[in-house]
Amino acid sequence: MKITCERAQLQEAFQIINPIIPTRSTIPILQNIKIIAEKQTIFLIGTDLEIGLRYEIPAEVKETGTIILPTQRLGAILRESTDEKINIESDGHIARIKTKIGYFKILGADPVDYPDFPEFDTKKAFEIEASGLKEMIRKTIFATSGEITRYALTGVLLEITKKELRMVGSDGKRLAFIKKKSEQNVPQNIKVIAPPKGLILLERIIQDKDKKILITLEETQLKIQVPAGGSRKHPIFLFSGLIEGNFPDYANVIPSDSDKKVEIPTAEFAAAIRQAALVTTDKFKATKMILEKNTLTFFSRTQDVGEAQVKMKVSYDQKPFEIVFNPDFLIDVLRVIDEPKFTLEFKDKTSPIVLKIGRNYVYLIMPLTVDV
Amino acid sequence: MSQLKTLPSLLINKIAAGEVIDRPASVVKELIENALDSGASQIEVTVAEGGKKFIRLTDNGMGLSQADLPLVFLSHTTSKISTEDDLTGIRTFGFRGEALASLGAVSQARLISKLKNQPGQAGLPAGQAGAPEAYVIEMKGGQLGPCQPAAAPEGTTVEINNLFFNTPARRKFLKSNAVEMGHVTEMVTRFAIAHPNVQFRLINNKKHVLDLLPVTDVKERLRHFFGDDLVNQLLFVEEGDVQAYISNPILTKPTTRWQFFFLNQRFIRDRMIARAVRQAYAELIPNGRYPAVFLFIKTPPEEYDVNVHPTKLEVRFRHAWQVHDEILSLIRKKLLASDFVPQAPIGSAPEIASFGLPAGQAGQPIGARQALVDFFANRPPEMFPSSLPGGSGAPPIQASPGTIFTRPGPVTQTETANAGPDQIGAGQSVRFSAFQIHQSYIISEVPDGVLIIDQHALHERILTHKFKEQMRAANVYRQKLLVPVLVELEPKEYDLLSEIRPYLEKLGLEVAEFGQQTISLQAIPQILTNANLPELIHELFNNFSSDEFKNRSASKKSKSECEIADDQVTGEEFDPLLDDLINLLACKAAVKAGDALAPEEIQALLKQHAAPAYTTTCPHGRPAVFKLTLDELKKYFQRK
Repeated sequence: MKITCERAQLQEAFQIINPIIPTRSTIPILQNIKIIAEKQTIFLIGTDLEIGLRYEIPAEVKETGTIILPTQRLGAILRESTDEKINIESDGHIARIKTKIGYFKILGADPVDYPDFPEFDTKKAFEIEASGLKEMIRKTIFATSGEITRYALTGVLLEITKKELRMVGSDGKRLAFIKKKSEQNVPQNIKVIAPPKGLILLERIIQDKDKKILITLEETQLKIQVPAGGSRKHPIFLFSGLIEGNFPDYANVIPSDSDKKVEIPTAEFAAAIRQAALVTTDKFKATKMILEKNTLTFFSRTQDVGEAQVKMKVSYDQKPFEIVFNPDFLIDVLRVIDEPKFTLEFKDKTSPIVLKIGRNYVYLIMPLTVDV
Repeated sequence: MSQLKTLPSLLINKIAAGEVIDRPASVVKELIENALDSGASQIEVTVAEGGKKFIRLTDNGMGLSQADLPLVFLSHTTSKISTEDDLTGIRTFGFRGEALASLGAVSQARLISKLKNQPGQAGLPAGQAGAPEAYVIEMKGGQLGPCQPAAAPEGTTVEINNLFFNTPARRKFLKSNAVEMGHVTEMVTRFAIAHPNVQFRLINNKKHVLDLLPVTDVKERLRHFFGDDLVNQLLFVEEGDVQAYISNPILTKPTTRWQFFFLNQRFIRDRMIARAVRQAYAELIPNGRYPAVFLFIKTPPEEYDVNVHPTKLEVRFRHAWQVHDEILSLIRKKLLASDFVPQAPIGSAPEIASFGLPAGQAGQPIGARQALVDFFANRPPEMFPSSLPGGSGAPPIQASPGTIFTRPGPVTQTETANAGPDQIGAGQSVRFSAFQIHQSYIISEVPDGVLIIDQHALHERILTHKFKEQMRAANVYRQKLLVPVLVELEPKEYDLLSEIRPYLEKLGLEVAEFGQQTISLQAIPQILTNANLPELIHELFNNFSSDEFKNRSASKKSKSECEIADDQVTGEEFDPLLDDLINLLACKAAVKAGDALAPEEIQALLKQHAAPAYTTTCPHGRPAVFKLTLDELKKYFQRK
């Protein structure tokens, strides 16, 4: 293989692929990046077998071929160089990289050992709207569980119907639900659980200008193609394994009988809860929220640490009410809310706190039963 | 004809001998007790063939008069008590008047004694002028010989030949010479520890086994018997009439053989005291390991009864629980108040002089350098005074000569930079840097060395403590679950449900029945993140139904007095039944070996560790922290 390409483009590709490449793996060859040179493009491939990405950039290909190179070293060369163009030649498993001032000979691995990378079948694919996807991922993924013991909850539930796109993340103690009206030409309703890794990757790749993405769904794999557009000359292809398991029936969990309601200014509320949480500790996090006439008070107390009480004005004139919860659950959601206002709804001390933004976003927090 | 008859006194003594004298070691015991009762300050025990063939005890006590001699081998003759009232206030070791009579019945015994020349007896009749004579008397298998004059120094010598020569059944039960000698040595050891001010000598087959000069500090005796390694790790505790040397929990022994209890200098075995010791070390040492404890109790003789058994090994305390509680509290308090970070035993560091240089040549310069190193080694404490008040302005560092050699520069800088408000008051909180290795251990730099921390063990310890705090405040943080977790129970478990349920509730596990043999978990303790809930529930049931658990539960019911004492000592008013469950829960909630920790998590863990309430073992008693001191490193790298 013998190629010349723009260093900046190659480096950008590296930056996207790099996070996928496992730093430690039982299959050492996965720590490499695979470069395939074809006609006028080169493909860069990285995978940890659970998710994978294929990135395509234009290049001047004098000789086609495939080479497997250590990601870190190649990345470092690209980073250190200021050249516009970069030359890579391969001879067997050895790569020769030429820059203006440098010449590197890097030992690669045998391409035969690299696992097969799936192909994207455009014919089977259907389109879904890309706009809003980033937001949907951001607003649900944080609520997923890190606990592998309830495996289904480590992923985000993805529901696609002809008219609507829905995502749900939950760790069993809180739940984030978002939906968006959009037209999809799906043959039937789709319901899968996607691991956060793949979604985070997708969230990073999608740009605001992107209109549509292509999806194919196989038994255990979700394949996505983000079409060319903007600075991207070629489509990006990524795949992600799916999580098997039963996702809890979220519709049943979202209460409809919350009788107390208060409108909350986001920024002020976020500052208040963060202050109240100051005195909570790692494994013992509890804050009490007290609603009285036009006042909302947060109160936390932790033995060996201290107490905090923070008040803010709200418009509320229903029955006084208090509830105890893990403040992190609120702080987490406030990081992803861009809207200046939201509503909180309550029923009683043991029912979930319901945070709503319009009709499309619902976030539930199960309370703690503890006296603060 | 009557079938019942009174036994001849010889037979009675032979039978009685079985109780008092069962092996050479018990002969030694009786004789040493007699010697101590006679005020001896030097006791020499000579044995042959493990005492089976020959035992001789020589003391320098007050001795016996000619008139007393014929009586010594008779039953129930004693100088130690005379009225019934004396029985309740026994201050001597012997009092029953059985030992010598028994010995005389089962061996060939010989007693030589010379009364001590007491100042008050100076003006004796002319015929007996000068020092009193020594006399000897023999008894062979119960046949008393005549009392004859002899030559001997002041004091008493008793010789026992051919023990059990006329009771073959008993003789048959004796073990090998080595084993019997072991028992004899053990016996002398007990007395030597109880009486450090008495000179003991033990000779076996003409070899000196023990040669102990009188000492003022019992620690010297302990050092002789158990070595520096153990004695250096002993902590001294004292309160009221109880003194004890107790081992650092890091140092454990495979059996209780390293536990010696003395009551008014008498070696005793006592289950209550043993229990108190065990409880004091509960959770601090692993199961199946035992501490070394040397306990010395002084109490008025009216408070206990040693007349339980002829061997006087067991005693009955009038207020057994009170004794138990005092000992438990004394030891536990000390253990909880101490910092037990184990230190690496690098005693075997190679000697500098071993580089082939003659010791004399090498010695000089090294000695001088050593003195310098020692001098500077003593400096660091000045730079890190224990009263360093964290953020409130560390005292200025003095430019001592030490600063040049011990390179405290960068360290101190970091320290001042680190001394933020969150470190105030924490005992060992001056942390410099820490990192994780093998996703299992945390290495942390401290002023005088390096801590190696087992992340799981430490976290588990911290969580257990915190969880207990919450339980004590009846304020367990329970997280309601959005979707209940269903757990299918085995039939055996299902039967236990109503029994275990109150405990589950106390732990913060809210359960509801959910159809056939299934429970649904509605809420869980907040600390339980990352736990496999069904697995945990099964384990809780399993623990609950285990035999050990049931026993504890039973003992709890019968010994509530003691548990109350526990509570007072440890400040925890817990049902011990819950303890196991709490430990299990904490274990599940704690970070595991293999969990990668973020730097913040490591810092949080270290900060919590610095809190004084935490000991350095996990609730199962395994150590959690290991310390390598700079001195040890220096030694290892031969910088010292």
